[in-house]
This record gives sequence, C-alpha cells and structure tokens, in this order.
Amino acid sequence: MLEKSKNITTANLDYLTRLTPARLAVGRAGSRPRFDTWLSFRKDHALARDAVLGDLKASFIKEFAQTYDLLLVESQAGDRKNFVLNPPSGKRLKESEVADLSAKLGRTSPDVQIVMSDGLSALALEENLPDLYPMLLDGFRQEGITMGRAVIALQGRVAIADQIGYLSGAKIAINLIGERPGLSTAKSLSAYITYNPSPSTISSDRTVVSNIHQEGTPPVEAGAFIVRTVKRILDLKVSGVRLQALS
Amino acid sequence: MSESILSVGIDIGTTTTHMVLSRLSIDTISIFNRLPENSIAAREIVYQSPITFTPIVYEGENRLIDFEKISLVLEDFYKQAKIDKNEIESGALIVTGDSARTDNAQKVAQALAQAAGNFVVETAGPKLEGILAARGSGAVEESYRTGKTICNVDIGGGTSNLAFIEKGRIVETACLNLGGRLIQVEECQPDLFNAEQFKTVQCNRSGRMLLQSLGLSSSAPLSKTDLSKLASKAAALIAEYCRISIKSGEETSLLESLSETDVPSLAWLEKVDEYWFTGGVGTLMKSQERKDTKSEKSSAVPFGDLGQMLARALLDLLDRKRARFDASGIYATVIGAGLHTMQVSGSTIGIQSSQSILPLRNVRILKISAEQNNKGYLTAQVTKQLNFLDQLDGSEPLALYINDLSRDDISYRGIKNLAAEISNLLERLPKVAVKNALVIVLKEDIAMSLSQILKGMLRDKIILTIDGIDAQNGDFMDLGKTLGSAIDPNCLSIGVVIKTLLFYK
Repeated sequence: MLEKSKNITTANLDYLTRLTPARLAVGRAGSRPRFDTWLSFRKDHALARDAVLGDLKASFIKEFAQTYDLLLVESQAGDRKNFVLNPPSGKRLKESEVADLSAKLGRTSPDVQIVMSDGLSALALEENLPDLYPMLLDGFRQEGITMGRAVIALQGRVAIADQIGYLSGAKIAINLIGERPGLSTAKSLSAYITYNPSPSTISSDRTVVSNIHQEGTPPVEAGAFIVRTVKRILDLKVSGVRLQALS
Repeated sequence: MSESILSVGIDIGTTTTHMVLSRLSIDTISIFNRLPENSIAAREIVYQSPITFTPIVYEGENRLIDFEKISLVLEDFYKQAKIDKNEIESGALIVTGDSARTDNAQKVAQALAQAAGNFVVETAGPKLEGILAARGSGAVEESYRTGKTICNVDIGGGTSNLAFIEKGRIVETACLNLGGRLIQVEECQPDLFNAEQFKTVQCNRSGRMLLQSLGLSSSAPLSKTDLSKLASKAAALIAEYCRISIKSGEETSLLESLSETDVPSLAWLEKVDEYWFTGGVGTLMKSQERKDTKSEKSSAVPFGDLGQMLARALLDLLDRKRARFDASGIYATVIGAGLHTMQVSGSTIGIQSSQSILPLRNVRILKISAEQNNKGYLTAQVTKQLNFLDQLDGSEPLALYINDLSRDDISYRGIKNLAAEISNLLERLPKVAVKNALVIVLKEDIAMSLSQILKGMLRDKIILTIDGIDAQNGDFMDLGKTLGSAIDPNCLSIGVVIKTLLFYK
C-alpha cells in the first residue's frame, strides 16, 4: 500500500504514525530531540527500568497467593540485582527450597503445573494475572484438565517452570512470566508452555503466547486461548516448534 | 499459506447493470510476538462485465425489473468470465437508485442473489450505495493514507450518492434523488423554425419537480434549450447538495424534498479537500474533461437522457483543482460491492460446537449499548426492540451487537457480567435463541473468553461469539465459512458481511 505514495507528506506521516505506537515523526529541535519527545522518552525509559528493577509487591503476593492458595519460592538469584547481573541464576530453584517445594507439591502428576514468574517485569504479573489466572482456572476445570498447586517463583526465568513441572510430574508446565519491557509497554506478559517439562527442556520445546496486556491480546482473551492451546498440546503430546510443524 | 475467495459484485442500477468478479486473498499473518491474525491481504479484479442497460418493464402503473431478461444478462456475464457460479464464495448484489424503487426490487434482488452463487448477499439502501461507491473508487483508502477529507459523489441515472470521508472514516452519507435519467426523451417533429424538439418518454418524480420549478411541463415538447436549462438546474442542485458551493438559500426546500436522507451538513463547505466523481455521470464528466475543447460543447442527448448534459453542466460549476474523476467510474459501486463488503473477524472467536450452524444468512442484528452499572440492561434493551420479533421468520438466529464496552468491561469480572446478562436474557426471553442458537458480535478482542465463560453457564445453547467486527451500519449479517487455520487451528476467523435492506419508499 505504501509504495503508492511517492513522497512523504505531513498527511502521510499522520497515517504512518497511526499504525504503530513506535516513535515515528517525532521531529527535532536543531540537532537534538524536541523537549516533549525527550520527556516522553525519559518517562517510558524510566518505566521500563522500574519494571526490570522492581520487585513483585508484597501486598500483591500476599493477596493473590492467599486467594488462590499459591506456593512461593525463589530462584538461585536471591535478589533483583543479582538476577539482573547473573541471568542464568534465575533458571533454577534455590537449592535449599527444592526438597520443601517437592514435598508441598507432591508427586501428583497433574495435567498442568502453573508457575508465575516476575521475569523482567513484575508489573506485568500485577497487571495481567487478576484477569488471566481465573480464566485459566475456569477453562481447565471445564475441560477436565487437572492442575497442580500453582507456584509463584521470584527472580525466575522461563526455565524455572520446567524444573518445577518436573518436580510435580506434570504433563505440561506453564510459565506466566513478565516480558522484557520496551518503550511502548512495560506491562506485557508471556505464557511459555512445555510438554513433558524437565531440566533438559530447550527453547524449541516451548510454545509461547506473548504480548498479553490490555493493548495487545487482552489477558482474559489470552486465558481462553491458552486453555485451547493446552488442550491441543495434551491431545497431540507435543509442544514448541514440533507442534507448529504439525499444523 | 494463504487461501483465496472468489467474490462477485453485481449492481443493478437505474440505467445500467454491471458485474465485477474479484479474488480476495486471505492471509494468516503471524507478526512476531502476536497471535496469528487473518485478514484480506489482496483484492484483484478478475472480470469486469460490459455495461448493460437494466431491463425495465411496465405493467400498468407498476415499474418492474424484467426478471427473466436480467437473469439472462447475468448468465451471460458468467459465461464471458468463464467462471462456474459454484466457485463463488462471497459477494453482494445491490439494487440501486430508481431500480430499488421498482415494485419487485426486493423479490428480484433476493432471487438473483441466490442464483448468483453461494453466499452472495442482496443489499440495498441509499446510505449503503454511497459507502460502497466510496470504497470501490478508492476514496476511502486515499483519505486514510493521506489524511485528506474527500467527498465521493456517485451520480447514476436516478440518484446521487454521497460519502464524506475524514481520515479514512466515512463520517456522513447522503442520497439525492437526482441523476442523469430524471427524464427520458426522444426526438420528435422539429418546431416551426426547424429547431430540434423532444417529447418526454419517461419522467420521474424529481424530473417533474424540476420541470415545474422551471415553468415547463412534460406533456408539451421540449426544446434543446429547455433540456439544457433542466440539466443546469439539476447540476446546481447537486453542487449545492455536495456543499461544493452555495449560491442561494432558495433551493433549500427543493433540496430537502429531493433528498432521500438528511441533507449533508453545511460544515462540509469548509472541510472538503477533494470531490471524487463516479457513477455513470461521473464517467461522462471524465470523458468530457479530456476532450474539453470549444469545438464540442457537448449538448447532445445520447441514451435519450440528460446524462451528458448534466455532466457538462456540473463540469462548468466545478473548481477543477478540487475535482477528481476516478478510474473506477461507473464501476465504483459494483467494485465496492464485490471487494469491500466482506469483513474478516478476529482470530480468536467462539465457534466450537456451533461450527455446524454455519453459514448463516440474514441474521437480524440488534444493537445493544453496554451499561456497566445497570444490571439486566441486556434484557431490557432487547425487550424494547422485540416488537418486531413476531414478524421474524424464526429460521435464522438473532445477532446481538454489543457496543460501548469500556476498558473495565474487558476484564474477567466484566466478561462474567456480560455472560450473566446473556444468560439472564435467555432465561427471561428464551425465544431470542432461535433454534437454541444466538450470535454475539463484538468489536473488542474478547470473543473466545466470552465463549469460554458462556460454555460453562449455558450448556444446552449454541452461542456463536465473534469479534473484530463493526456492525454499526448494518441491519442484517451473513456469516460465511471459517477462514485461515494455517498456523494454528485455534486461530480461526469467519468471513462476515454486514448489510442493510432498505429499499426506497
């Protein structure tokens, strides 16, 4: 459609900028950005930094964990700073917690083990879980899909869910995790879904539903979609790239 | 992977009938980080029929479309196109202008649409004509792309259909009962001074009103000057109606009585950047513009109507810099009907158990405005609109188009509330679910979640939820086949046609 317009005019730019939240046609003042452009960039950058560096709010953890009877664990990272500086430390549970969690989960071999990790945006959990999580609970119940006791994993990365799913013997592990923030949104959540999760799971084994936030796929709609995806994975007994190859 | 759909557009106009066949490619677009979405990626015209006169017959007082003749015309078009009708999967047949005013318009439209191919819908409506012409000419896209304010003026034989477009959005439509065929004449005996004279063969209501305002009559022979005056008068009225210029306020009452819709807002006088002319008269304007030399101040009367003279008179009134004569010309409406009537729904919809009820035709749309703080609003609003339900034939389900959802409604609690409203409605007014089925239409991306919650509440009902559809301008909808399951079978869309069926009075 665009190749038709030979020159970019003000009106054309107006059209282009309406297509994306990216910073298009923001102008300049001499060799520097304009004042309002600079301010909005600083603001969005600050929000992104806050999301990465911020911890999941204690009040949120308390209320949410209580409402849905969740377990709380930590990764080997220990704190936010170490998590950011040593990313691999977020992939595994703190050694001292493994036995305890294992006992609490029991080897119940549910269909699905849900893990919620702050990842690179704790804010994404706070914003999206209240709408997303109950959709999953309803949907799995309706479809007769069994669930293990769900877990909140602090300073967690994607792979931590595979370890937890392995502990409970779940067929599928789901990690609802905060995405790395950009300058358009810091509240985006992803769901990584693995069939037969284990410590040896690799990235291509995981199916992902991403961009879950109010301006992307609304969390409620994503919830319903994840239920369908899980059902399909249970039927086909495969996830990730190989699942895509089947369609 | 992409699939394509063969779509037909048929326009039965006041003077002429034509057909366009086009191929719509549906693509599943998987943008990195997003759920796959299905959309129409390309529209390609594969056949364009010749322009053929619309066969009209008179049975006493009744003006009728000659059904047999027009069926043969269409059959012939298909033959020329070398297309098997059974391959056609979408499209629209529209009866426009004075043809929509014939006594058998509705019946003919229905029968022809059914015969035109699977899933071809019949439509009519003065507002729709303007919308389709503006989409078909490309004015909507141009406005969207450039931000210009454009008025598309489609002048046919019986009506002039307007669409005012701002930033790609059609903001206002209007229909004036004036076109090239307000009078049909044939040459008769020259007068005493051997000047050409014409006698009136047919004259519609608008033609009679204009003649009267000029102190002329259709019973006496008319001179070429008379016809030219008539054309100038019509042109001045159309120009005023389009808000190109306002010469005097005297015409206001005449315009009002000639207008099928509300007269366009005066605000357009300042706002319109470009006027695009399409339709039969628009095409004549274009061809006259080209050979615009003094040699041929065309005042001829080809086709025995005013088309040519009207085109001439309009050109004289125009600021040419603001006027554009689009290449689609007389085909604008039919291209709009063939290429732009189908919408593709969002890719996460709720069709699980209900798949078997598709396709559905002529589903009546009830427009509902969500009221967050008013429990039972859905039942109340549907009850209000139910008066006509007795007349429903009860063969197709109803569709509820839920509007005005707020951000708070796009939440777990909000969707539960909406589901509760629907459940309450079905309990109180079970007849709303025709054959136990109901269609819910939404703009917002929540169809799959609503479907999941409803499934838990209403096990014995078939509730089809679709999103990403704007049904604001429609009275009925047709739901077609499911599309685009290439990447993930859970990402399904439905082809939807929103239509109106308002035949002129």
